[in-house]
Amino acid sequence: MKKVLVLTSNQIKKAAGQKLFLVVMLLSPLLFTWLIGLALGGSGATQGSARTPYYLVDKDRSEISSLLAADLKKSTGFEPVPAGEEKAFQALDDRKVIAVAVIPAGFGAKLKENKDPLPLEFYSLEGRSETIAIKQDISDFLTRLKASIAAANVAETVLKPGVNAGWEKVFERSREEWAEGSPVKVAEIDISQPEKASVPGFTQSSLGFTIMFVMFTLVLSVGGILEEREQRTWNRLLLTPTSRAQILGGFFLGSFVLGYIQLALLVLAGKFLFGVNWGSSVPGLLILMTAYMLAVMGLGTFLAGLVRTQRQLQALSTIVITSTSMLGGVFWPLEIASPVMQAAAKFTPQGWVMTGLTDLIFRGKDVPSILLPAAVLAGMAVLFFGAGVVSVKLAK
Amino acid sequence: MKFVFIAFKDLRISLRDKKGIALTILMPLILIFILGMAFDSRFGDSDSVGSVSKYKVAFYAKDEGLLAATLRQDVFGSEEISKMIEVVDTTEQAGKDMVSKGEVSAFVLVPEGFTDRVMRGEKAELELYSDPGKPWRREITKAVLNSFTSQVAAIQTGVKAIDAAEPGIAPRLIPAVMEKLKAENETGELMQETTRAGRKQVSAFQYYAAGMTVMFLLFTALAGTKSVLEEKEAGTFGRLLISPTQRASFLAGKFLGIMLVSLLQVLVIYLVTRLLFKVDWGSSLPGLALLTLAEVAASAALAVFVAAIAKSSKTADALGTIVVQVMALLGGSMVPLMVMPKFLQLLGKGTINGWALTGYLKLMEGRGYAAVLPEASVLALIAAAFLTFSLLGMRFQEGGRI
Repeated sequence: MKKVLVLTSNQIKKAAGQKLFLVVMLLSPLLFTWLIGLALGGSGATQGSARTPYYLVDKDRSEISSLLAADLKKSTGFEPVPAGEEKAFQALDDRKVIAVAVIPAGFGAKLKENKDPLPLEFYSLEGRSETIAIKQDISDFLTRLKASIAAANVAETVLKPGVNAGWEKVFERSREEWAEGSPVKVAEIDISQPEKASVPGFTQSSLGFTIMFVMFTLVLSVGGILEEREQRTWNRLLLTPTSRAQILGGFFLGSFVLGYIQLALLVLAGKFLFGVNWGSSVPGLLILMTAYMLAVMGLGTFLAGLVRTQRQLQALSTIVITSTSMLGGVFWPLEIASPVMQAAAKFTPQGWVMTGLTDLIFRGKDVPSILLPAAVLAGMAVLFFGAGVVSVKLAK
Repeated sequence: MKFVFIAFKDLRISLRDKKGIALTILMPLILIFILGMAFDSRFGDSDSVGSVSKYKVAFYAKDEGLLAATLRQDVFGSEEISKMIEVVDTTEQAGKDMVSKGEVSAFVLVPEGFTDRVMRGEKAELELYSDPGKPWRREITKAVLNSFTSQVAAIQTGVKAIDAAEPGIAPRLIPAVMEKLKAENETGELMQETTRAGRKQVSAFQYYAAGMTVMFLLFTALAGTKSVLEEKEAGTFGRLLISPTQRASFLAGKFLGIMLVSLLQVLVIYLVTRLLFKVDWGSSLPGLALLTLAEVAASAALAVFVAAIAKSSKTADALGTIVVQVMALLGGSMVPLMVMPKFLQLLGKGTINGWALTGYLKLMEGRGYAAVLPEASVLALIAAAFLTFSLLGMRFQEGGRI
């Protein structure tokens, strides 16, 4: 056992000596967390910290269109930037702005008439969820404006002419009703909310990149076997009175400890830098992460078996890890992905660990909920180690 | 013409590496396929609308009024919504349980007296219980409910405004007023998504086809860097120098070799995505050719540059992997730049893949080669600059470390 521990500490000392490696493995996940967290809407799924701008072209210049323009400014998620048509489309061409909304000439008059309204034109570069959200936002304000117009129009037909009616008066009155937002609302109630709600955007990205970069460390660290082989230190170790199992044990234990150190640092960084709440179940987190790390070390062994040198392993693992991370819900929450991607995620260790972490962290659940993901990960570990042992030709 | 020989030798070596080919060509294709399917609203089976797969929402009306029934039948029962949401009718407690067990993504409860309150002109609320593990689905469900509540509010506020204009009109005329308001509020589309003449909207499938292509070109460049460094370390570079081969022609050969491998890679990706996934790479062949050449040149030049200035292959290895990832992210290969903050968009201008991706997207919109001239020129300039710097800063003198 002592020999195993010596080998373990060697492994850690070796990593500690590689300053660049340490910086890369600790700083880059934080950078990724921050960037993707911002892209996912730092403070929530829809309310971004900075409002996403789009260009608003008012070709109508009527009373109604300026009311609409003023209303749109009140949006919490998006910022209409007034612009001329040419400038707006040029910006769209230069990809400086995500969408352009054009209020066509005659829009106000037609809307007032309300027979065949002239629709507001919406131009966007790509059909994506962000543009759909802007459309939704504009459409909400349009609905309100139209409600007031409809009220005024109906008032003209049902009220005694000349009495108190007056189109403007009813219109204004109805707009006042909307001043504090819709009088009929949706109340949101979260069930089993963890004590302290954390920010979905940053939580998602922090979880994701923590597990992705722990994966990098583990795969490369396990792949260190290749280096031992290249430098023939492996053969020398075998000459000493140390069994192969002891050497391998030390090797894996070292990688495992290394992974846990990185995990702990990243969890703390996530907590203090991005306000991520890591859930209340420490045992749950430990079981799940241990199973995940075993699966990833298994994958590392398997990948190491496919190549000959440490350098080849680096090239291979970068591509494998990045790709499976995209599929496994590291970059995007799986719930917004299609069924195909959700199915594909089931074949990646990241997909399962993210499922477990979602239960622990977003839902505030405990150990029982992560038993299935942990078991699947353990199964993956066995499969990968098996495949790895077959393919690694350690001592020739 | 030694450099041509070096280039083709490198191409031959790359072609012999079956695993390498699988990784640099199959992997992007798989990713394009899956990401494209995942984020494209126009692709895939009818079960998926937008970027979201169909999900379950529990529903219970404690309210016996008209509005609860309208919400259940006309909103959740509509063709559009039922493609996205499957409604499960339940009771109050069962609904809450289903949410906490994660069996449904949300539970909508219409509270008792909802319709009455709305009719009396009072404020009213629908209750939405949602699974905290699915925050994005909660937003979608909320959007659906919000659009219903604003329609309801439109009628309510209309009645109130009319009632205020002529008090006492209420009981007698209200039903007719409501009917009219409903009709008024339902006329025509207020908004329409459209494109300019000759322009097409780029689908998520196209976006990821371009995004992954530029990202994997960077991986290829990284592999190229390594091949140069390997020659240095294996001492073959040192031997080359003894032979009458100039450093410049060694560099040129390596540069051309990486370009050839990259070109082959993108051509296969273009063809397969075009034929298998029907990805439209735009209608301008000259534009595509121009952009491709400039991009491939820029990334190959970057590869040669890094190899030329790197002190050791270890530095290049450790940094390379991360630099490629950061560039992929900043250049918009993973998430579109336009949804990121302004300063990040500026950083994206510093990446080769960012310029190339912009160019591809312009072509995909249906624009001609003139539209991508800025991108192609910038990429060509980047290529020229990196090549010049690598000649100047070459540390090959230290080569043959062993």
